Amino acid sequence: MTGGFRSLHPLAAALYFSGLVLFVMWLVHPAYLLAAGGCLLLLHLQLDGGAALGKAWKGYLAMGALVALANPLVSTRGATILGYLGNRPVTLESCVYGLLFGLTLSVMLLGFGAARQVITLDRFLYLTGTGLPRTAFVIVMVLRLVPLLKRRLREIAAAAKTQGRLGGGKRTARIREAMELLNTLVVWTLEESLHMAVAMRASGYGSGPRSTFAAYRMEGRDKGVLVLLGGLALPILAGSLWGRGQMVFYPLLSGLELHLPHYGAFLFWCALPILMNIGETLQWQIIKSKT
Amino acid sequence: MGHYLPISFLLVVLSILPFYLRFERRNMKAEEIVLVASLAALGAMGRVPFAAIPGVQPTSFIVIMAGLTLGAESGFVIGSTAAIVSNLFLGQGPWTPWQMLAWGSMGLAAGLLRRLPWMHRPWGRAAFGFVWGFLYGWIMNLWFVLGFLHPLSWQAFAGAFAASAYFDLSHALANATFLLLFGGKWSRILGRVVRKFGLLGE
Amino acid sequence: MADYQIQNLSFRYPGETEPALDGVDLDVRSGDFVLIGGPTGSGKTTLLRLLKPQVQAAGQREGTVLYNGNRLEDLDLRTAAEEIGMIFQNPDNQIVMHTVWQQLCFGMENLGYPTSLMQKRMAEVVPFFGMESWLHQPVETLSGGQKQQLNLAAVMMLRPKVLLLDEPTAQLDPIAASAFTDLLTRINQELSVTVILCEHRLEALFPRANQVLLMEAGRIVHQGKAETVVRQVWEAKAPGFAPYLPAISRLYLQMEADRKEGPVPLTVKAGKRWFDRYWVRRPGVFGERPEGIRGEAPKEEPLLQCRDLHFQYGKKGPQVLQKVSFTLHPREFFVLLGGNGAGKSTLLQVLAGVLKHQGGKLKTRLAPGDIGYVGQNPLAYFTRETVREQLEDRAKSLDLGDRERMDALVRLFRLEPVLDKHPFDISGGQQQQLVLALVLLADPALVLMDEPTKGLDPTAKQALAGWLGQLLEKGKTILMVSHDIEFAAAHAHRCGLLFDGGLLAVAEPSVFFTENYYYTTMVHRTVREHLPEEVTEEGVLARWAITSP
Repeated sequence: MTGGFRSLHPLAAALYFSGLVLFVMWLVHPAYLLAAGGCLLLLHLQLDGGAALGKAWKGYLAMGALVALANPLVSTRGATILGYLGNRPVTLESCVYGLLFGLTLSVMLLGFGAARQVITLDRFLYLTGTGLPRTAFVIVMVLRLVPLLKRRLREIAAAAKTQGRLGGGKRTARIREAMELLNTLVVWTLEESLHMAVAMRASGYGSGPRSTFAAYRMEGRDKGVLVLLGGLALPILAGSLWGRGQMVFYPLLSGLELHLPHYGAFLFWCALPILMNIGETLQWQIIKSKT
Repeated sequence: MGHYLPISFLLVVLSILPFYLRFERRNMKAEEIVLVASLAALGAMGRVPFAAIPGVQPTSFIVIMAGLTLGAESGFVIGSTAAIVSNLFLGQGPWTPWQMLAWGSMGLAAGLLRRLPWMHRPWGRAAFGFVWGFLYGWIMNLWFVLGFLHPLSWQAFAGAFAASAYFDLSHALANATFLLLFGGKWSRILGRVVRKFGLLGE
Repeated sequence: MADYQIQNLSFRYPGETEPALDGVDLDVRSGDFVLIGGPTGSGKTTLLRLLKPQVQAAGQREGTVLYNGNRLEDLDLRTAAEEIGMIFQNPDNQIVMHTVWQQLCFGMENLGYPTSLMQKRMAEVVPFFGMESWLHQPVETLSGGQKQQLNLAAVMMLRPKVLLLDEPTAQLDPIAASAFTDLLTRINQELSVTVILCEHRLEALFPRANQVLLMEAGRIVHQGKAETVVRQVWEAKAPGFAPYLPAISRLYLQMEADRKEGPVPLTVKAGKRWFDRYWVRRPGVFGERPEGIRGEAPKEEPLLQCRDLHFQYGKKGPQVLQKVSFTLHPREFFVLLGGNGAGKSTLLQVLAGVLKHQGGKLKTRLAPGDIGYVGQNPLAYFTRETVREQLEDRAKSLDLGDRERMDALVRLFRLEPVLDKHPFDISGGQQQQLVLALVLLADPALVLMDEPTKGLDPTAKQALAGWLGQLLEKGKTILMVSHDIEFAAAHAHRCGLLFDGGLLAVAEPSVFFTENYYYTTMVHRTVREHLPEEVTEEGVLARWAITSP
């Protein structure tokens, strides 16, 4: 599927994911985190059948687990003592804090994973380029140079190897040889970069203010989504400032009160991409059935 | 007030932004732009594993040498751009801004201290690299400690620093070794190009 | 309109005593196709660069350059960027963007074009160049020919009136080079864009140019229409420029020495027409094929043998080599030909021990140290700050006690004058000689070379052939990978053709090239109906000389 949420204007997609990550960081509450996590899992399934997730989920889980374990180890605060580790108390509050923040981190990573698929390289560069055109330009140049440098490094390594270098041996000797390769690479690259600069000027670089090719146009649907996101962000932010969707951990755990309108707005934010994708599929079904 | 996760995230992003805004406004020759991009590409490549150089990640060395020759502002941009581009290959995450800050500050510091005579002696450079091996690790610990550990106690910090001590030490040692053995040579290589391009480094 | 009037133009680089350009006069009219030839360092590039404000080198300039009647210095940078397009030798150095379409937009972005205009230009230029299918690819996936085509397309986006091209096909294989030249001819013919082109390989370009200049030591030595220049060069008896002429023209000028008038054939078509008539006009003038023009490949116990070699990059990568089998004899000169991506370089690296083959057998009685490898790019070899240090460092790592071998190589490759220079500051030919010296310091029995004739001017190519001859006399074996059909036909003992991962035909040049229809020399294509065994100018002349008075 190439339509749906994926085809949203990069600005709207960026706003969506920034909002999502911000809310997830802020609203550390099991109901909120589970909602966001569940929606993101579904989104991953819709985007690529879960292929990217299949590779990365262990890492996401491990980082979450690290947070969950670290908290009870470093924190002795909390009123409900579960037991002792050595002579340090382990409290229920610190365990819950760890679990929830571990969940927060895992959900954030899920969000980054989905964002990486939606905000592709071209879109990322477009976004950077609208605010920071020279930065985007330098990033593009770096992206072009990295594979070129790798190719040069392979040639340098081949030259070195056939001259009896890179023979292995002790670690220090290997590092020295590797750095010799890097020396050659940097001299070579800097030498060629002089030619590159001349070629840049030859194509008019520096003869006036640059423009940036804008490959994406804001369409009616994108504007609608932007308005919708704005309309959702306001109550979510206001409610969060009011203290909705946030637990108190120390000294005693607070209850899990849920303010339904606030939660509903957040849930809608999380589910928006999924709904858009379903809508897109339905539309295709209708078009197909008509022909 | 519950926790620092969103605040610390925003603060880091806000601390990186001014450097890029200045970079956008600076008057730069084509040669200077190419040089910044080439060094950032070398730095980024230093992180992506490749068969030719096993176990060597010379990114910090490159960023420090870039800051020393091209100055603080370019040093920051080269360091942080190397971070963001390498993450385009390795995967972006909540750590990206922190990494940009860590490598950016490394280049920035090298650029700020480059007028000091001891930064032009092998041992001075090596000491700088050694210290920054640890500082880098500590900045990267911050995002974890500030964001995910509570309450912020000295034990929390000590624990995180102890957990990363091995990596930080090997990073510091690698930096010191590279700067000791190759700092002079790179300084000549980069200096030659800066003269040849007619750039004075800010 | 795009005219240049160049009057008494001289140029001196800072710190040099000799001028790089010395009193050059040249008139270029709108729509001209100007071809500039001459050895490396003759001032071609310097002249070309003085025609575009953005790329002028720093130095001392005298004389005037008028562009459309006005001084070039007065042209504003923006107009200069749009109207005067420039293409350089190395395709990689001109591409600054990550994907093809980004690079196409680069020049337009530099000049601040709005997106809608960029889209319109793209929609026009992309189909003209047939780039639709690779428009969204990263540039790293393109071949050298595609990259240079991209550079040309990117320049054409700005609708230039003049194209300045500095050896644009020097790094390309012959097929890509002729595709590029065809595009250029089309742009010149259909859009009337003025073309000013520097090249070493002039053969294919002579018929397309309406003005040819040959330069030497900063001066224009010969100037005029292609045929006039060809005759001038021949009659001046200046041996320096003879190698620049098409082989067919040289044949004609030698065999029709008494014809002082009339057109000189420059192409296979014109050459064949002439030769067919000559054959009828002078029956029986060609004798039998003399025996042993070139020493036969020695038949001894093989130096290296491989059977069914197989190699692929990674588990999912393409199968670059499949079932490659051949035998290399001592003291032979073997040239491996083949198109782009046929696996030539890969095979060479497998033999050099850089890559490890995954299947088949590689048998050799040579130790790894006995195999020397000269890669495609000399820059990959330089780790020191002077030529001398580079040589001494290599000698030290080889534990060579005395300097005798090093001094001999320095003399052989004429490196004395550049010993104290930075290896990056010497000419491309000298860089290659330095790499040869570095490799030969180890005194290898087998020398592997990856496209050593790439980018060399004809004089440098002849010098290279001379050195390789000396190596063979000393008992060394050479295996070369090349695109250079003419070089292989003139010097190799045996040739092989690598195609689609397999080694197809292995034979001596006289057999190898006579069996090919397209993949063969210009001379063979001209004379094959009458002299089917001949592939080189020397071969034809050897048979002609026998009976001619």
